[in-house]
Amino acid sequence: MGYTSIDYNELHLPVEEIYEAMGYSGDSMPEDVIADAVQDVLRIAAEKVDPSCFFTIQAADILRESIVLGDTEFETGKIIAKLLQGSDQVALFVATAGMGFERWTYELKEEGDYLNMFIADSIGTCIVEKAGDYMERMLELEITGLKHTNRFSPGYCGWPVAEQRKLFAHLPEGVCGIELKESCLMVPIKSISGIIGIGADVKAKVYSCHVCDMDSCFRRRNNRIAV
Amino acid sequence: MSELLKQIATCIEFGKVNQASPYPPQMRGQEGADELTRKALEEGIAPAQILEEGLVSAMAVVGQKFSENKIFVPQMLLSAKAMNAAMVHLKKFFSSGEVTKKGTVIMGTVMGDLHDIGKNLCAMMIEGSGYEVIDLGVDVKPEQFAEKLKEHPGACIGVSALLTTTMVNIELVVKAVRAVDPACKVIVGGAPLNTDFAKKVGADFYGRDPQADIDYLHSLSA
Repeated sequence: MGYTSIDYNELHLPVEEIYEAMGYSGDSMPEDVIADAVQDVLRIAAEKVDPSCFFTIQAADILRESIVLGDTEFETGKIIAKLLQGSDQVALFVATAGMGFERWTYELKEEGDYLNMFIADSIGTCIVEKAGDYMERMLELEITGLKHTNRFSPGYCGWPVAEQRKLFAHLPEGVCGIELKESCLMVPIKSISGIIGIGADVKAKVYSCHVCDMDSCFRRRNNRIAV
Repeated sequence: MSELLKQIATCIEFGKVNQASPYPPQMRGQEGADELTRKALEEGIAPAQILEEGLVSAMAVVGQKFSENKIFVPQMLLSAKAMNAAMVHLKKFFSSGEVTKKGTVIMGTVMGDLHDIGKNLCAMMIEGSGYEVIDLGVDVKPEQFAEKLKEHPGACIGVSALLTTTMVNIELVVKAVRAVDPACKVIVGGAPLNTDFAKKVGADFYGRDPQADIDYLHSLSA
């Protein structure tokens, strides 16, 4: 598969997920004024966003604490390597909310509109995850008869962020308009990248703190939105 | 405390920016922090008293409520917006020296990192607590922190990072500013950081949330 531009309307973005990204959960829902502001920002976001995704499937050897693609050994650590066991191929992927969205959030910052900027940031987080879900649906169409794991990204479950460089070396330059900075930060910031295991009998396990043993991770430490 | 100062504090605590502001719904149509601060000055209340009893006290309540998970980021941002509306009227008294700040904090997101929502939030809350905040923005090089410290001797440094690849650059900031002032206090913050990391890089404090930063800053001047 190559590059796919995604129609925003196909992302199906539930507002509850935006609230969750803003730190609300359970019974704590935003007041009407905040909810109205979310709807206003969402309307503009729909015009600004230009989501896209890309994946490429490659043969892989899954070792105990790493995975090998050709000459490259991805040092994923044992948690992700274990979750990828049974895969004989992997999909390397990226998905992004796009540069238009990035520019717009920058404009909000310049205007000093921090509330709308925060809401836009939360919407961007949801959009890029939905773009990742869309990419997975595209992957499923291509691997008919096979199963796939969840998606795993450098920076999580003990896979160092610095491994982004190896990942991007396996992707076309400028894929989906994403630039990998020296610090391994992706620009647009609202982008995701990573790996998905593919095989006849792999499992998609819930990707959350219970599969990871990193006690000091901020996602485990914080039970609310990280600021 | 005068009734007017209580009203200003209420506006800031609940994010009532001005009369036109629809938030919070129960205060719709009422005067906000903007109008009431102007009125307080017209009535001859000292700017320092307005700052301390109207703004700083209210922001302390807001910070505490956030720390206790009683309010969320949007409500804190609305409070900060109300505080800024009040601060517009007080700014001239800072430059005239009639109102003095509690201290200066030079803040920025570390070199290589562009994340700034948390840093901005902390900056707004710290400013609302009576400190001068010099925000250097994102992707700030260690030498930029050091240069700004030379311009503002005695200032504290606040450094933020959101990536494990960029948080290591905080150590460079600590070294750069300590070269200018060995006693300079450095606060670090950001999702992947913790107290152990702060100690490891030689920083003085890890701020888990804005109120923690403020409490630490207050402790320095206590």
